[in-house]
Amino acid sequence: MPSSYKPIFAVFRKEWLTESRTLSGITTTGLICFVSVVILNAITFTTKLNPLVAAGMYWMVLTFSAAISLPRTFLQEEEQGTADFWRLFATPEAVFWGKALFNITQMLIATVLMSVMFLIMLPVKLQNPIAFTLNGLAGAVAIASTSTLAGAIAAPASNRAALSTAISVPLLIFLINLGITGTATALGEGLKSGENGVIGMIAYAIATTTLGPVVYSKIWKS
Amino acid sequence: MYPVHNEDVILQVRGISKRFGPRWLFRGLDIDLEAGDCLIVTGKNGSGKSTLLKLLAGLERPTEGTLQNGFDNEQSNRSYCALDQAVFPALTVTEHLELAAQLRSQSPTPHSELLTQVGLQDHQNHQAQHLSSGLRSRLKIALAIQSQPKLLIWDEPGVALDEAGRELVAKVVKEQTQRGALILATNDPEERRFGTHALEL
Repeated sequence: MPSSYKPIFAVFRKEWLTESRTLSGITTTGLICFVSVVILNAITFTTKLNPLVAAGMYWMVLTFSAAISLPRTFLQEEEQGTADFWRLFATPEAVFWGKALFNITQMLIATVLMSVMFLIMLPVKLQNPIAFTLNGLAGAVAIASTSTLAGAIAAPASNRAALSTAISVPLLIFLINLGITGTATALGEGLKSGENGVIGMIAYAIATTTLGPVVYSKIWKS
Repeated sequence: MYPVHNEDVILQVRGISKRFGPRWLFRGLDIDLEAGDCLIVTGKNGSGKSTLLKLLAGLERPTEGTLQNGFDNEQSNRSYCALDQAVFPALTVTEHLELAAQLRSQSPTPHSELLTQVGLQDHQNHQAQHLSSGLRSRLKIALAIQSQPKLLIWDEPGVALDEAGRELVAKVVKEQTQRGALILATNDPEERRFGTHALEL
């Protein structure tokens, strides 16, 4: 973490102000989540869902909405030509941390909304609300930090949008696996507490947010 | 860039070159700037003026050569202003200045004097996407001089500016040469007169 928090919060504030005026990120994430849950609801309306299948659907929707919308915080800077603004005024660490913080906030909001829709609209029974909540929130943080890193890596490339998705998916597979296990447990599959999944996802989030500024700094200097 | 330990030296460039594919844009340039200097960079379209200025601003890397400056904090002491430099469409004029100050970890200062100086006092709450190209140029000038840098790198200063804007350019050039050094890329005969040194590419 850089010595001064001021530049990090300045980057976060810029992202927040931009998002509050354009609503592009939350609209993309929200629409993907909403449409996916509605379609799943239509498909599974009369069928009782196996917890493992339900958990798989939950994490598939969250992962794809994040992989599409979150890297945009970096990609749009290159597209609109504002990446030079950061290079002139900021350090790569401040830019990465600020954008990661914003993406984590956005993903936490999306996960809460998605979870509420999921529990209301799909035929699932929540057995362990605490495990479900912890698993979802830890997963949101891990997915957001990983997607931010993918966006940072892909941003300088000419086919950046496709590349960021291609980078995100292999990075997120381990996380999805942990998340599905944890959510399935919370929905009544097995007797495990799901603690290992939550700890694993938090560790993954710490690893990607620690690695992110180092990787982004190298890209910045090249 | 590496700092040099001589108080008078603002910028020292040795053997800087830039190549795009097989084509050398320029080779082996040496530049020395001290306080009070104003270097005018001229040349035909495509000669590499803007690329040279981006190199000096740290936005591009040279193929060969070294750059050394006489100050530590590059974010505060080196500024760059260019027509093709983008600003954030959804942020207002004041929010841009606040963002730049916070990124440099500067203490929050009122921007009213700076806004009046660049003629944006009536546009401070307008988003950048709603500003004309001339007003956006004034915003970029405000961002460039906000930290009172020791080195100001300015690409085509007068483009998109009206008569009052050109007077602003003259005023900023005068203040900058009193505070530090300046590099201008221009083919405008009026602006060339500001120079103490010249470099033709």
